[in-house]
Parts: sequence; C-alpha cells; structure tokens
Amino acid sequence: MLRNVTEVVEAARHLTSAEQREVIARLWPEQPAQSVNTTWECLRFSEALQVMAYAPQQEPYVEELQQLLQQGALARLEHAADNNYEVYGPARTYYVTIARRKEFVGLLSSWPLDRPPREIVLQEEA
Amino acid sequence: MNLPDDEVRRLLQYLRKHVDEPDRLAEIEEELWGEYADEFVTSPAMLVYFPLSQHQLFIADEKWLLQIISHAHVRMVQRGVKPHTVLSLFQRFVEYCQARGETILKDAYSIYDPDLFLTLRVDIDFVKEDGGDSHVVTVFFGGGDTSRSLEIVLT
Repeated sequence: MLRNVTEVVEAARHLTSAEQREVIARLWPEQPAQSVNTTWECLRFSEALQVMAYAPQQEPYVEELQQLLQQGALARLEHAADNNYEVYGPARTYYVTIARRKEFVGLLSSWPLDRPPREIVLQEEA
Repeated sequence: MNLPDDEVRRLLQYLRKHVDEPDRLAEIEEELWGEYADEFVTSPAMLVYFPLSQHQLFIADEKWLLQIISHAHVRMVQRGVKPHTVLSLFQRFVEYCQARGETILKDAYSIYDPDLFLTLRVDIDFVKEDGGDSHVVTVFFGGGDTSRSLEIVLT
C-alpha cells in the first residue's frame, strides 16, 4: 500500500498544474455535495438550465454538459470577476462562463480529461 | 456583482457606435450599471453587438487564422485590450514554442503574460485549404495565474 501511494505521489510530481487538477477532480468524493471552498465547489442546476455553445466547435458537447450540470458536478472557479469555471465531467472537462441567477451557461471550450490545456507563461527575456 | 466604472464606460463608448435604437441602448446602460452586470455582460443579449472577428497571421511561413469569438470580443472592449495586443501575444507564443523546438499541437493552450496580467486561452485546430494548410485558432480569455488553485480546504 505504502509503495502504491509513494508511486502515485512520485508520478504526480511530474504532472503540470493543469494535469494535477484533472486528477484531483476525479478523486474527489461525491459527497459532500455542499460547497467545499471558494475555489472548488459542487454546482447543480434545475431543469430550467440553458447551455449555449459560445464557440462553434463546442456544439456537440452542449447536451452532455447540460445533463452533467443538472445532475451536479465538481467545478473550479477560475476567475471570480468573469464567472469562469472549469467543470469536471467523467470523461471531459468544460470551460464555461456561468450566470447563476439566470441559470445560464456559455460553453467556451472543452477537452478530454487526459488532454488538459498546456499552460505557457510568457516572460520577456532579461 | 457590479462592474468597475472604467469597464462600464468602455463598453458604453463602444455600444453607442453599434446600437442604433436609443431605447435599447438605455436598457443596456441600466443593466451595465446594475447589480448583476457581471452576468449580463456575457449574456447572448449583449454578445449580439460583439461579432466574431477573424485575423490572419503569418509566422515563419505558417498561416494562422485567429477567430476572436464574441465572448472574447466583449472582454477585450471591457478591459481595453486592443486586437494587436492579442495578436502580438499569440505571435510571441508561437515564437516561444519554435525557439524551444516544441511542436504546437491540435490542442487547448493557456498562454499567460504576467506583465500584461492577461491570459489568452486558445483552441488550436488544423484545416486543409486550396492554398495549403492553415491553423485555426479560437481565442477566448482566461483568469490569469492559476498556480494557487490546487490548494484545497475540505470543510
């Protein structure tokens, strides 16, 4: 058991931040369904929820995202002022903007869980 | 949540040139100064005034077609980000990858410039054209430095 845990920790060291988030999201217990903190929380919407693809190539994923959010899903707040979240489904992660009061979700991007966005930091060479 | 005054002013300056009906403009202005402006600003009712735009870039003989979707367009106006800033950031990203010998894949990327406090999120696709291949890049905006978002506190 200890060896397995050590292997997991060692493997995780080599993952990027985005890859680590994908792993953490799938390890999260289904309960408690209540909000856990200000960055990660469980989102659940009523039957009134409307989901719209804000990028044309995201159309095929609208229906599955709608079902996911009506069942309840783990989400990570990426930018509070912009209401941007990553929503973690069983096999796909969705990048969205959410209007909670109107139960409206704009789908911006999505990716399979093993292909999270590569994060590049550009800094001027000194 | 209310929007900062400078963001509302930028949006209204743009909208005065693009909304023909005074009554509609007055309704939008009321929403933008209101308590739920953060939700209204990216609603479909607002995005209709911010069309998708396309920009071609040639970087080291490769053709890139950047599609700035309506959602990104409204954020650019709101934050005072000019199209040339977006194009320049993307060009620096391509050059950054080329300098390191990294192939840019058909994938999602998050490109963060800490000096500009700007995160460009892009989906890169690949299309065949009569005149050769080109990359189609869908541009939207992200939320800056996400390095601390791995911290989790269970309550």
